[in-house]
Amino acid sequence: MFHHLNKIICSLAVMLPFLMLPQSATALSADAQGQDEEIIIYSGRKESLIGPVIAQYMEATGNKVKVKYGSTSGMTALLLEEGDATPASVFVAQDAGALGALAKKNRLHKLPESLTGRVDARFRSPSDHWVGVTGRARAVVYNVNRTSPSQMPTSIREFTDPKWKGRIGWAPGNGSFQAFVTGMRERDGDEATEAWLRGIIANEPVVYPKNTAIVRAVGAGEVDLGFVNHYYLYRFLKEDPDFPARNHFMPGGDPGSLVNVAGVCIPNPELDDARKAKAMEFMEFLLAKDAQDYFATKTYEYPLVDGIQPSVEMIGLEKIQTPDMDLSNLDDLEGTLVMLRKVKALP
Amino acid sequence: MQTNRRSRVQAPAPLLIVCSLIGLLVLSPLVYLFIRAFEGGGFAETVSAIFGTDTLVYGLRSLGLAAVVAVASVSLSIMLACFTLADDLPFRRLCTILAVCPLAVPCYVGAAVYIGVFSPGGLLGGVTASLGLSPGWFSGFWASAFVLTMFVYPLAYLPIRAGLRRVDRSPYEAARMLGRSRLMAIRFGVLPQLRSSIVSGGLLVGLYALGEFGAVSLLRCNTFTRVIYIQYESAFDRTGAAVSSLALVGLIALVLLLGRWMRGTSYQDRGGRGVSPLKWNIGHWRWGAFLVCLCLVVLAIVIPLLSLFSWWGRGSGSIDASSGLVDPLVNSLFLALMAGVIVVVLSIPIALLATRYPSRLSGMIDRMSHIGFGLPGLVIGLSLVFVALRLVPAMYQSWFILILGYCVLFLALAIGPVRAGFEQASRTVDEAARTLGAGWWRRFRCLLLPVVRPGLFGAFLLVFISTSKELPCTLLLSPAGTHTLSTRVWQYTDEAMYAEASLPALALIFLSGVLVAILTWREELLEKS
Repeated sequence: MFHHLNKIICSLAVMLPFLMLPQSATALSADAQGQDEEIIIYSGRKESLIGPVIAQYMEATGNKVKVKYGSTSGMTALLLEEGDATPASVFVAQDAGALGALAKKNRLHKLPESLTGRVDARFRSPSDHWVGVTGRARAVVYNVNRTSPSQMPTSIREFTDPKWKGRIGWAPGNGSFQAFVTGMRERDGDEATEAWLRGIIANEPVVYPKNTAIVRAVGAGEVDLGFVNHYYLYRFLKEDPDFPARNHFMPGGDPGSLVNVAGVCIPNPELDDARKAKAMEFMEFLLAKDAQDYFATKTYEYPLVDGIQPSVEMIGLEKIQTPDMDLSNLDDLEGTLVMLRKVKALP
Repeated sequence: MQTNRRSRVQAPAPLLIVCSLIGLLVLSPLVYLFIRAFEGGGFAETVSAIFGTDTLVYGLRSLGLAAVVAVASVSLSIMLACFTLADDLPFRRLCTILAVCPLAVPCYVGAAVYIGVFSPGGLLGGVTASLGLSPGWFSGFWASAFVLTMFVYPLAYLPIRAGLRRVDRSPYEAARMLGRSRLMAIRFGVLPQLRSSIVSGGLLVGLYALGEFGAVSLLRCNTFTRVIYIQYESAFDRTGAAVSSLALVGLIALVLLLGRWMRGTSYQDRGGRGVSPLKWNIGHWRWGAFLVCLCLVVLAIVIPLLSLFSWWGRGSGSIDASSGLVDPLVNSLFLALMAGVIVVVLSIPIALLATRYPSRLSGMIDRMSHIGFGLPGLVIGLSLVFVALRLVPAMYQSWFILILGYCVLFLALAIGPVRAGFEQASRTVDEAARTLGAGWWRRFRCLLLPVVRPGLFGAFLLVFISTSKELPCTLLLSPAGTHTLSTRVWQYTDEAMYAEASLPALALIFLSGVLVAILTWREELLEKS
């Protein structure tokens, strides 16, 4: 009896991979030959956020798309490593910093004015190498049981006040935060920004790896408030309507009210024409009304194309009054990293 | 004397060639790192930009974490192995199986679970609040050490348990007869024989802790891997990342040297057919021992499962539950089986070379494979991108390259158990069979395989579980348009969609859990019959 069991288990273990081989074989051959039939998208946005839009695109056009999901920074590292050999035709990135870094290393194909022109000049590459799809505002998320909107300062600069000691959560390793610091340097100058960072550090902020962790911690009461992007909170609220946290937006063109973008680009300057055409078609789809409506109502981001309204829970993009600055300068990430290391916010 | 004579025996050429090829494969990350670190000539500049006193602190913290986790895991494993090999432990077989299962929980899921459990409103939130602990107390070095120990200790438990089975009982019984207490008898009669298993288990756990990033970053413990990730992910600076990765390789080499020193030359696992295996009873402490096992099971299995189920329940109204679960499940199963089989097959020639023809080459491949295990998956992934695009561009972004990546990552897991198996096989019987005219295949099948098989299964198990939960390398190398269970879990946890993440996480744990149960049960039956 035991002997039979042995044999069955052994043969199953050996055979299973081969039983599954047909599927993998098709995957292999599809990769090898199918490149002119389907386009490959690298996405730094999660499938839960952009997957439905891609499905809509495939349905609407009949084009085949394969998506490789990962983190924006991981995908950027991958694209830099692959160089011209990348199979990707489109890269969807979570923040302008990664797009700027790719553009700086000459990894991006120039986009036509007809495409980039649909979006306000603030939210696209000035050299037309990438274009924003949705906007994501910086916000201060606070725990409603521990502080109130009336206690919130009118500028992010005021969080260096000692009364906030031990109450702040931040994520200095996070791309969106670094973009915000870059924005602050752009607006207030390096000296003031460095002083601000030192002031915050003197208030002993709790360090988190990313935005979601901050929002969770604020809801849990680990810290009273945190520097985040605006939309994470709405996802927590969707799962738990009693989640005890709200967003506070800094008024009046404060550096704390920066609007960053999630954008797209063609991550290969040598891309052949057939795939390029399909890549353009996909990007146009992302900037058309259906997709923009989807982002506004389902992922709680700001649509960037004129005439599309954001979700009702959010204040209007025009009310946030982004500081008057060029988003493409957000790619001066190196300077920001040097500064963050200098003040010992980063290793 | 005898070993000296053996080492002079020249290994057959095919074996040497195969082993060298495998050696080249595990060497590729190092080659890649050197190329990236020294290209462009900015090496010295980068070194001075990255390395300051802080980096040193991160490095020391990494080493400290590795040491704590390794010592804790080894102690826990020795205790559990002693318990589960005793004849009178209540529910012995169940305990044996459950003791391996925590490995199936990915560390970043374990960390997220424990953060949730201790937060206000969590399972134990009330308890921590009444103890006066501030929210968020569960973080930092000791929290990371706890989570890593809980979910990685089976890497040490499996080799130690296998080693304990091969222990010769005569020293233990002699000590008992001379009136030593049971603990002292284990200390002097058993542990010296276990030394090699303990060191290799401890090494695996320590190296894992060095290269871990997900859980450690969630728990806000700044280890050296964070320096590497910041280089890649914030600065997009490959030179800097390569330089800091090479520094991590230095740390790994330090740990390996330490392991080599601790393993020493004194006492080999003797084992073999001649020894009489250990048998003991716990006696009237047996329910106490069972209680210890139970506590561990609650901490490392029950609490994670309960949390995942409660996440699932919380959002069940709004999620499209099982849709899109079948594909990732099939992919994970396929990848884990393939990687398990291939890595074990690759480890056989190396183990053969190391046991029959010990040489510099075999030792080098062994150490190289450990470097792969200690580096973060991101680095391994990028180095395979580099290698694949230059050598086999047509295969790029196919399952094949991904499985090669798993080979580089997990070969170290397989070599230990397989080698331990080979060490038990008797050379004299093999030579007798050869003089009687038996061919190599027949000798392999009839003499070697039965002895080596437990080692092979142990190796397969470790690689299977590690592959199914591996994340960074999978994200980089998997073909576009495919998902595995671990990438699914990551997608959702990264966006704080815990309700959606719970189902693939549960599937992942059950997939490995079922396999662990089958294989361990099977070994138990074999043992008996």
